[in-house]
Amino acid sequence: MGLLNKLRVAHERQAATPSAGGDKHPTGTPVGDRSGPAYALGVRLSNGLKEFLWHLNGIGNGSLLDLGPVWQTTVSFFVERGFKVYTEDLLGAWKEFLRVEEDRLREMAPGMDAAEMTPTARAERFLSNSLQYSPDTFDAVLAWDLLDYLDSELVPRVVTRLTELIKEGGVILAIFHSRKPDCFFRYRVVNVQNFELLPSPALFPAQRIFQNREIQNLFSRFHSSKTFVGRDQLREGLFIR
Amino acid sequence: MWRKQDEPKPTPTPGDRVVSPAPERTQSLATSPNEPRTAAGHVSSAIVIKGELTGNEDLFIDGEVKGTIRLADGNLTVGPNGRVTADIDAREITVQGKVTGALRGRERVQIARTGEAEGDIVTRRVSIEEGAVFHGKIDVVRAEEARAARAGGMTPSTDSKRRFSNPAEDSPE
Repeated sequence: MGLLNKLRVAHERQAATPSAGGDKHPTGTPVGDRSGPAYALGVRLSNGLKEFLWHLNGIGNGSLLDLGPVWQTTVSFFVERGFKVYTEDLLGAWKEFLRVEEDRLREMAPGMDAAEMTPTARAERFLSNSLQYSPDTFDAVLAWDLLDYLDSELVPRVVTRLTELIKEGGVILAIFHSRKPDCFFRYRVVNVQNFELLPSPALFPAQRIFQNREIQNLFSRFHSSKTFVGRDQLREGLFIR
Repeated sequence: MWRKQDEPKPTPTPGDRVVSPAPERTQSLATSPNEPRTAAGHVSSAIVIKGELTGNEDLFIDGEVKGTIRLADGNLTVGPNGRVTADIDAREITVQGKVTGALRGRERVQIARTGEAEGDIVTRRVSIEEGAVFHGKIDVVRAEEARAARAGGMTPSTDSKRRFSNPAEDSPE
């Protein structure tokens, strides 16, 4: 059983255990997972995150874009360090977009122009409402493993858009699976060298496994890149514009 | 025989729990700083309001509001059924329903696990429960900045004291 699979099983076991109800912080922020077994199991030492944060050292009043769902721990971590935090759950938005598109497709009368329902047109349409920020807005982007799950038509467009949005010298942290993951994870920053993997209901199956060359090509407009390969089949990529 | 009626009535000790009838709920029009904060205003789920809401008391919205909401010293709670499309300015903002618009909580903004918010948040403290949905920017201003903002206009964040550490220094032993 792989490490990621163990994480998923442990997390499911913990989810099935009834909570005493005393694990909520007075502010309403759930903190049980900080001390509970899932936290300990799901936390991963990340050299990519360490480098990412080291790169942000000294940036005052920076802006960070988190492309996963919003988490208190991630927000607090960066806010306490003077960052403005933007969150946009791009996979969640893509899922919702596809649902709406399917409804549209069902309602399309026969004979109507189907050209706008091609994957390319769909990707363009999705991006016309997503990642809408001014150029050079961000010092840092947490992309997590987003690119593994997006349509192949969408991936290069998202990277191109991120390239426009990130400032020169800004940095992106992305994760790539080395083999198809057993389950779907969400991610959040825990501290300066760890992030947490949270098994979640799958929004999509992984669409592909990127080869290193493909990753380099995707981020070819970036000034430099670094990859950290973990024993848990995760590759962390750090891309500096 | 048994003289129950003469038995002394038990008197509550400090450790006992005293159950007293619930006080009649009143809605005060002017709350003093010492009075507990209560949801003075309530927009129920069947109500739709379009326009500007201003006030100085706490407000609970479980209905639909479109426009602007300004509570000078009040807390705003958007209930689980609440649907608000408005720029909001309040002391504390709690989102349990759906909110679209800029949220300016002078003390705190909280998004509950059932809450969905889209827009920019400017506040001193932010609290986001697991399961909450948020799309937008979170800008946490410090106390002195909040005071300056109240005095007139927002000022950009000042340099933060806490920074990221060098990974080499943070590496585990």
